[in-house]
Amino acid sequence: MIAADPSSTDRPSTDRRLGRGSDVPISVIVAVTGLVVLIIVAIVGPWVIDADPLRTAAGPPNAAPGTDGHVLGTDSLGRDLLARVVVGGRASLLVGLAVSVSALAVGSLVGLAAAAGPSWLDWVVIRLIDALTTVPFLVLVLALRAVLPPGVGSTVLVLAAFSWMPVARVVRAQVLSLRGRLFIEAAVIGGASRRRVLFGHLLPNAAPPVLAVASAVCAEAIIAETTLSWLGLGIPVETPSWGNILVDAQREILIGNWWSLAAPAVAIAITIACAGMLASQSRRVDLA
Amino acid sequence: MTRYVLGRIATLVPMLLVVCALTFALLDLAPGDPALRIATSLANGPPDLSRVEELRVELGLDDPLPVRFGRWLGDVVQGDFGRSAIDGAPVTERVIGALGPTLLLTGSGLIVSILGGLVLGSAVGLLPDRGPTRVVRRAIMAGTGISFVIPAFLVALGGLWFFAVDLGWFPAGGMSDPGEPRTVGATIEHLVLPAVILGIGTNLGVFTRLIAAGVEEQLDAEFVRNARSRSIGPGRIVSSHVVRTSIIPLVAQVGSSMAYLVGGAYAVEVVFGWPGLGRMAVEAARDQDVTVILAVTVISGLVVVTGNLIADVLLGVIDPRVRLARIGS
Repeated sequence: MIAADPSSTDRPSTDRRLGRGSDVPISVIVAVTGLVVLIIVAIVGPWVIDADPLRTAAGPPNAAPGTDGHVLGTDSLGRDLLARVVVGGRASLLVGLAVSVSALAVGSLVGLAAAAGPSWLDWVVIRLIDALTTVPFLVLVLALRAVLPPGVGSTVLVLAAFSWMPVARVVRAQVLSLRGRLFIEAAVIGGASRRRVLFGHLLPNAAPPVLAVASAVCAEAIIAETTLSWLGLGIPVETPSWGNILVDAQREILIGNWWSLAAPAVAIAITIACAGMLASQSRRVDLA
Repeated sequence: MTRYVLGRIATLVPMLLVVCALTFALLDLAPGDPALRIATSLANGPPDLSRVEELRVELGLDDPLPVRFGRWLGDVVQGDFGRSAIDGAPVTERVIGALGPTLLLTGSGLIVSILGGLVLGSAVGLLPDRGPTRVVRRAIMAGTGISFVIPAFLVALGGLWFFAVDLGWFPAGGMSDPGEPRTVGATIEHLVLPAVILGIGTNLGVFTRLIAAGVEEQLDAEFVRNARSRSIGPGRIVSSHVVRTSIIPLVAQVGSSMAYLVGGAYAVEVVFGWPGLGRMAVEAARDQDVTVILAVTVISGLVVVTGNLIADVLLGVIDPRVRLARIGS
């Protein structure tokens, strides 16, 4: 398979750009470190913190941050907010990752099928994506929510069902633009099977912008999870998540207890900022 | 121009039809039997099973899905969204009643983000990136970037706490004070905070960056240099050459961010108890009121598509290249 040798063709050198340490932009390092720290805290944190996120009256209700060793204060039922935010990260980050992975898988397949399949399929996919992006995400999710019972799994399903469109769009565009490139023609002439060309050459080379979109999808999914759970339509209250910690906040801020809002909000903002930074940086790397 | 507008409508209407069909088919899977529910509420207790069957035939619930969709679509085109699956009340009146407040909030939020984006974006683009103005530029970029990291409903919750509760500058929710009539003055007083928050929480960051990038680019453009050499004053150059051309990408962005804006408005509605479609959708999802969700989905799609269309037409008006290119293709 000499023809498929990447070095002899115009294959984009994205792998080199992302691979060498010295070339990685500082914000990518910050974003990745931030996300890794968040994930580690969510996994390990609950064992380290000596407080039960579900135990009510662990302290006085609505205690301000710093009282009685409750670093971030307590909520209206006297549950420790630090423990709840740390444990809540598990559900929220898990939903974000699960949704972006499923969006990546579904979106890649749909985008690939649209770009490489028959033209009527492409037409159908484009119309479908256009139609689904016409209705606000929240409304679509609410409609599907009415059909499914609440729970972590169904929340992932609901969000993933309407998150694959941007991925499919980018994969399709990438495949269409890569299709005419020399290294693909070379692979085809070299006798590579259709499947090998699609999954071995086209898809990997479409990866950088697709991964950028996937991290944006991850951020969107975390936002959507928090929105849904805050509305009482996402993850049920027995499983703390950043969203359902906020169920309390709506009522509590009206009597001035800002910390019930601040603790999960900061956690959400940091996560979204990291994922967003990753998305915009990897997009820039591709354009460079 | 007419041809251009008609062409846009011709692509948008099928899109709405697809949305309707998808949502209809999806909500058909919802648990619960409307005939049983209505029979129960009519009989005020466990209903007669034969009565349930009768109702099912009467309401046409035993027809196949495409038939029911066709009938529903025919009714919707005539302005009838059917009856609520929970209380049997006509849905159309409720949806129309909620549409006004939603449009008011969404429109005001959009205006806030456009005006804010124009002012702040021009400031960033025109101020030199050195000396004391560098700090101002950075501050604007960081401040408007808040919407990139914090979802709209969190910005709304934060704003509600700070401006309505802590500072007490604005009422904390609703469209008028409880028990008071909805006067224009009261509505405006209640509108300011949610509208500003919606503007900041959705599009202000994007618009500011678009205008800033446009202004920076245009400052070096040939036609601006040409205008300078014709000794046109700097104020005139900025207002009628630089900023004006930078508006084009902003209008295009308004069109493509309509769905995002309406979604943001719905979240803000729930925080502020604003009696619009968003709050209605959330309540309907909790109650599994299929008819209402369906109606809200269709109306939301319609609002987004109309906003899209208006932005497209505006874009065609201010930038003839768009109009001509689309007709040509």
